[in-house]
Amino acid sequence: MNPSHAQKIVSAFWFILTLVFAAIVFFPYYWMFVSSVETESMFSWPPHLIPSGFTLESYWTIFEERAIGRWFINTVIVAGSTSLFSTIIAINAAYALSRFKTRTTSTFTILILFSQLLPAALIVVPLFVIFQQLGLYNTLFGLAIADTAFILPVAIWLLKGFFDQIPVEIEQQAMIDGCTQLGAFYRVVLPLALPGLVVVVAMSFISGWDEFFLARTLIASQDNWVLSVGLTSFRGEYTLDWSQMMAAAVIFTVPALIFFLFVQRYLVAGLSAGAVKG
Amino acid sequence: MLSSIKRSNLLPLWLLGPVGLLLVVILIWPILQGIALSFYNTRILTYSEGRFIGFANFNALFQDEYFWNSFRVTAIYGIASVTATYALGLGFALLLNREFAGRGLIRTIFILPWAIPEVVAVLIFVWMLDPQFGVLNYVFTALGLISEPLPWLSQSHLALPALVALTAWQQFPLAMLILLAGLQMIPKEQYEAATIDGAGPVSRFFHVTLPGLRSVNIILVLLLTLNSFRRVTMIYAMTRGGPARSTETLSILTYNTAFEYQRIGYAAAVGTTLLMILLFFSVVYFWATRQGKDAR
Repeated sequence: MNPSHAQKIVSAFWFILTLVFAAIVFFPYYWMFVSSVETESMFSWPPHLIPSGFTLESYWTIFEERAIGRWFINTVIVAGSTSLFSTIIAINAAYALSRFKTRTTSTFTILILFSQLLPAALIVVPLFVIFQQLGLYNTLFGLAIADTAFILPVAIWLLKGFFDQIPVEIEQQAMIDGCTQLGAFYRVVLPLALPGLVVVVAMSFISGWDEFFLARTLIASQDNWVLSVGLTSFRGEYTLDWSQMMAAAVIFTVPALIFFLFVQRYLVAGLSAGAVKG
Repeated sequence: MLSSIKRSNLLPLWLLGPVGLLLVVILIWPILQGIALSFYNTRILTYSEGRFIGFANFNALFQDEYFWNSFRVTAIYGIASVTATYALGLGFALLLNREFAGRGLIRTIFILPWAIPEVVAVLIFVWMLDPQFGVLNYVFTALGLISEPLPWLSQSHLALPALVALTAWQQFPLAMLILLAGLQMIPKEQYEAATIDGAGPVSRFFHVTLPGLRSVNIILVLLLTLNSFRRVTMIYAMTRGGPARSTETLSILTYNTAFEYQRIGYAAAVGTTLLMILLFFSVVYFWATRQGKDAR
């Protein structure tokens, strides 16, 4: 056997190993989907690793028997507002942190880094009371505001990175041409930072979409539940139909997944740069 | 001239106003309230009628066997989940760092667990771990790893390992991506030089790869540790701290004490203790980040 032949066998081995691990990592996704479209009872042994048939019955059932539709709309409202609020607020804040070096901005930088580390478990008890006093308790708006506060530090940090890469001279030129400072920023800098904006919109949407802990604590009535809370309520019931449960899980996952696949390239680049550069 | 200076001084304040307001109302103020509450004896959520009792909550806490139990659970969970997450992350990063066809697609598959909502990850695992019909019990028995299906989530000594496995599956993509970025920073010449000096793959791993990842490793491990202390959604949705408090980390103990047992002041004391631990690790984290920057 010549060396190049041996090399080929070695790299084929690694490639196959990679595929095997990828399959194992992917399996829970596969199993969620297969369970949701299985035609026979879930309560059989051994489990059908390959589905014995295909049916969307579970999907129809949960829309008829559960408030999935309602929770879906609530989730869209909360995730959409979270995304809207945090993007608008983060744009201005990140611009300030990127372009002004004053005592105010450096205090804010520390404040933002610090707030990323706070334990939600400690925050949520007083927040519960504060929300009751402010009339935000059990409202979708209140939940979106809370989600926004939790995602904002990350969003600002990410956008600041994008703004830092755009030379100041570009806005200075626009200001000489008669723009105000903010005008120059909105008209010239913001369009250049569009990839960064896309990441922040999608990332805050996903985090609002997935949020469970705040939603579970700050929302009381079933009508205002979001999908994450509604889904977990299936458990603990006497007869748990796993097929319906997995159908609901698929419905919950797909929008987040689409957003994720859409931005993963930027997200990965931003994350890697942040981690390696410190 | 004067007005333009004034304006440029006020502009950042205007721009940062909304963030400041939100962070103060939703994060900072509640944290301060939480710390203040830990010195009060109060059981009701509208805690205005509480009684100031100084450090009594903390005294009781340090003698509370449930506190020490969750301290232990937090430590075991932290060490096990960070180790497992890191090991998977590094292993897969090394696999994906090789050149092969379809690498982009396969990398996306490896990132997917990170994209799934935590609650969904929990539900899938609960279903896969079902004592009677769970697919994992089937696979494990078929492979001869266990002799009969196990009730993973209702037995104390099985629930924590199951939770660690779920955590590792969901969190390793973060570790993998950061390590992959770190691997790509190691100059190829170092590998070539090591090969010329007669180093085999194992020796190259220990003498080139691991030292090359050093600064990334420190930051990643601290980040994973901080996350394991703060994690609530996954643990709460999977076990609520049970069975028999075997998965009750400090975060979960804080939440359960407040909302299940309605002991608000006491819960705040647990949370404040957790905050102190987090602050310690954060200071180390910032220090390590700064060191890493200076080294470059």
